[in-house]
Amino acid sequence: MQKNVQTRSSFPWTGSHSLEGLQSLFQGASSTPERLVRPDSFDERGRWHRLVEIDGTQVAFQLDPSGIFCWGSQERMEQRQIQRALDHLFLPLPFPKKAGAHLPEALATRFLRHSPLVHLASASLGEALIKAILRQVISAPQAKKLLHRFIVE
Amino acid sequence: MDYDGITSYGFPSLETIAQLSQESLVACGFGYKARMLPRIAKEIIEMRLEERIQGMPVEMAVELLQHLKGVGRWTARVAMCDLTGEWAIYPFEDLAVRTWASRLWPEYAWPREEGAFLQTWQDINGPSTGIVTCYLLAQATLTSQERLREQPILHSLFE
Repeated sequence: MQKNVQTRSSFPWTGSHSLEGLQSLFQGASSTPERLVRPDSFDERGRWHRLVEIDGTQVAFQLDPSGIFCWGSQERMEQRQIQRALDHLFLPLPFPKKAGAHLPEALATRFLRHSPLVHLASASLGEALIKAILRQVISAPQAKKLLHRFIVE
Repeated sequence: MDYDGITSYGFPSLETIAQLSQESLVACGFGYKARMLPRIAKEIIEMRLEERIQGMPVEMAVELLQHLKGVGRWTARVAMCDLTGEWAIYPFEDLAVRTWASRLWPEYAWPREEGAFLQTWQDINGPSTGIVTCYLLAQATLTSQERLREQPILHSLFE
């Protein structure tokens, strides 16, 4: 759907910097049995990819497991526009110790080990609502396949 | 769009979804939701919901979304939780939460009925209900993946 073929070097506007605290994004990523588009996806090198519309322009985002973030766009992008999108997409959710005080010890330990998890948000209300409707009634694996077909086909 | 050798896909715009035919969505596997998706996309555009929910208290946005036909409590809460990361509004009676509470926290006799579970889950977790639910579902995903790795035959069938 609306696929424009471009290569990294063809982007006139690019940028990169390091992002910290997003390690949990990569937990289990390499073991995913199917590479389904959600519309973000992981490649075989474990890098995370997603296309984001920022003020009407499609911007390619890429994050590698070491925390290096790169973006590329056909239009000029200000750092504040990129940062606004990143602030919305990645929301670190640390697990406070006191939140686990009433949990069985083993479970609290597992939760603390994964902290901080990163909530990966949908880019828009439309995307979030359509995804939630797709998820109604059917199982998570079915929904993932359906979402992939919806985006790719 | 291809970037560094990887093809990325943007999520279809509301304008695109609003124009999709019922036949194409049925062919994609949508069943009864085929009629619902274009109508809801049109309504989001016409009601300017993307703009209206900006800065709106999340509970109010949940109420507003439920004015859309086909969007109930569960869908509105899941969508707003996804969009904002506000796990305090997640529908805690969700089957996944009930299932994984029993599996990962078997020390407690969780009620099976939705309403009773919701009440108990909130009573036990108090102000931490949202964050505990978030971590429970993340742990559920990781546990499922660990099981797949332990069962290579099953794993290859899924591929």
